[in-house]
Order: sequence, then C-alpha cells, then structure tokens
Amino acid sequence: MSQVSAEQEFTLLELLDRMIDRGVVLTGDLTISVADVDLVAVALNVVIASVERMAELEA
Amino acid sequence: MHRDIHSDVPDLDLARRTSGDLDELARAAAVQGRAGPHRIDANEQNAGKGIAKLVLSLVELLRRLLENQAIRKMDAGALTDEQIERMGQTFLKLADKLAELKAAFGLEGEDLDLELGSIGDLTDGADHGQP
Amino acid sequence: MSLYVYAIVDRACDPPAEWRGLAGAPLSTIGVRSIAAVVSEIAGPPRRDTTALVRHEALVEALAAHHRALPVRFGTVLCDAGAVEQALSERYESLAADLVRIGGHVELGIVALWREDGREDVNAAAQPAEPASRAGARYLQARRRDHARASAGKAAARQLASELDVAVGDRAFDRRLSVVNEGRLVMRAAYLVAPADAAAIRAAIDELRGRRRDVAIVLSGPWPPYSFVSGQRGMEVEPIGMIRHAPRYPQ
Repeated sequence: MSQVSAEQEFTLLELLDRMIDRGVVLTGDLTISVADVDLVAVALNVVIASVERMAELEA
Repeated sequence: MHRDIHSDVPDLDLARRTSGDLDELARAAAVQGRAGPHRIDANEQNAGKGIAKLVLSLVELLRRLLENQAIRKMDAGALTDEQIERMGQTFLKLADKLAELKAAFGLEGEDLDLELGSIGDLTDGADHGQP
Repeated sequence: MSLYVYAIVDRACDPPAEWRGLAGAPLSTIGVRSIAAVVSEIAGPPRRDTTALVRHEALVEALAAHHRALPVRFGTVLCDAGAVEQALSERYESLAADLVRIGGHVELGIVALWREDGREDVNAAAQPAEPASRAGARYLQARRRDHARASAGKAAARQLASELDVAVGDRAFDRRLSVVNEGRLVMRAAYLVAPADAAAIRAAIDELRGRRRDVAIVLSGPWPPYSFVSGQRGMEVEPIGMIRHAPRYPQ
C-alpha cells in the first residue's frame, strides 16, 4: 500500500468514525419493553447463582 | 454551469490531515483489521437482539469482575489449591452458560465488550490508585 | 418531506443562501431560544455513500469556519420542523452549554501503535507457569497470566498518554482517552484545541515521536469536535487531575 493511499484511507476512516458514532444525537434513547425485562431477570439469575456458589466456596 | 461569485460550500479538503508512520499503521491494519473500540448498536433493526446483547454484556462484565477478585486472592496467596480448582470450575461453567445464552439469542461470534473505559479497566486488575 | 440535520449553531447564524445540502437541497435554520439547527429537506433516509458523508462534513466545517457550530451525527433525520424544535428544546441546556464550551474549537485525533520491533516481550516478565493438573486451576492460572499481560499493557499505554498530555500541554482545553491495548493498538485519544494551535501541537507531537521510537504515533485532524459533545459514550474522560494544566479546563 502506497504512502498516499494509506494516509487517505486512514483520514477517511477517522472522519467516518466520528461522523457515524459521535456528535450531537437528536433521536430518542433506546427504550426497554416489558418482554425485555424478563430477559434481564433470566441473565441476572445466571450470575446470582454463580455468585452464591462462589460464596459457598469461600465459606 | 455558470458559477456565481457567491458559490456553494467549499470542497472538503482532507489532504494533509494525517501525519505519522502510516506504513506502521498499514502493517497493523493488515494483520488485525481495523482495531477499534467495539460499540453496541442501539439502533439495530432487531431491538430484542440489541437488548439481549446489552444484558449478556453486563453478565460478561460481572463474570470478569468475579474472576478478577479470584485472581487477586490467588496473587495474595489467600486460596488453597482446592479452592482454586473449585473456583476455576465455576468460572468454566459460567463461561459455558454464557456461550449457551449467546447461542440462544443468536449472538454467537459477537463481541460482548462494553465500551466502559475506566469502569471496564476494573476487570483487568489494573492499579487505580491515581492521584 | 423530512428534515436532515447537519449542525447546531447560534440562533443568529445565517448560512449563505447559495450553500446546498444533501441532494442539492437548500439549507434553512430552525431555532429554539438562543440556538438553531441547520437543516435541509430530504425525501427519506440519506444514502450512506462517500458523497453524502463528504457533503455533510463540508457543511459542518464551512459553518464552523466562521461561527460556533456543533457537529450532528451523520444520518440524523427528523420528521418535521416541530420535531426539530422539540429535540432542541429537550436538549437545550446541554446544547447551548456545548456551543459555548466547544463550538469554536477543533479536535485532533491520536492513534498509537506498538512498533513491531520495539515491543517488550511482556511474556518474559510473566509469572512462571505453575504445574496444575486439574482443569479449574489451569483455567484460573491462564486467566491470571492474561490479566498480568493486560495490566502491563495498559500501564504502558497510560504512560504514553501522559507523555502526549505533556507534549500538547496547556493548548488542550480537554481530552478524551481510550486505553485500548489490543494487539498493536495502544490507545486512542482526542484533544480539544483552538484551531490556531493545531500546527504547534503537530510540531510538539513530532518531537515526542523522536523520543518514543518504540511506538508509532499517528495524528489526524483538525476535525469538528465530534468527540467532545456532551452525553455520549465512547472514549471515556480520564480524571482531569492527570492533566497538568488544570486552569484551562472548565469546571
């Protein structure tokens, strides 16, 4: 890859990274629906069970 | 086309906006693709998948926090061989469970790294005694 | 017709009538109290091609050349003027404050990479492998080695970041830092600076390059201050105390 094209490509990538992912956001935030709350509970149960097991090991 | 003296927006000039050893950059990019922080796309068409990924990322974060605690205890010599073995087994099971959940929500191969900056650093045992 | 949003400016700002946005559409402004959004009509979602991205950025930079301006994320389309007004109202305090704090400044981006030949072999410093016959202990010991390696890498990245801070010195109003430490990538940073200081900072970074031959430091910009708009995740703010010249940073 020539020096010139590496520079151009990197410059464009740096610009895109900023334009697409940063800057002022005017659209709404992600809202969590009722069904998704169940998902949170399921995942947390997995962790809680492991934490309890860890506590047993340490006791 | 006739150009008025009052013209359109000046062309964007991206020349000379990058300096440094770009050969090094090209070599690194060729090896590992564009390395950069991973982000959760909150605007995914499948909003459920977005939430699942967020939740599982939190679980992954918690797993790492717990592992980090265990490793600190290991380093401090506070664990017996038996405790190390049993904790390791628990973490192996948790990692398996996480993989199962990822598969269940169609997230295999997805990176569950949350872009958490200094909070995420807590998972790596780094020293946070900053002035 | 929907409205595509390019930037947030002061209410008094009036872009030239000849300027065109995406698809050749003329610009207008929609104001709320002391701020305004620069917009153009658009039939649907913008095409995500280089032409559209370049036109958006060209407009932002042209506005910023003569006025304070906050860059809006690419692809921001609201359904009508009322929606724009509502969005501005909901975020008014933050946008107005940002316009004052960063609207006249630019950002310089840093990406730092380990040079292939300059990299210390961190593995050499790792703990010797302890024999472990059982799966659980083997797993934790492997994770422990990973952690040690990662810690050393992050410490080295923070060291470089603080050297960059010193090089940039009190020309920076603010900084964003991401300690990445993945593969060859050491860290990414962005500095908020006055446009007039960009050249001097480039020179200072050049001088640092001479002293740190183990890394490749790539500098890009100046860019509109995308990374310094309030309320976004991404690169995290490191404690201000790490930066030497406190008076320059807003409290």
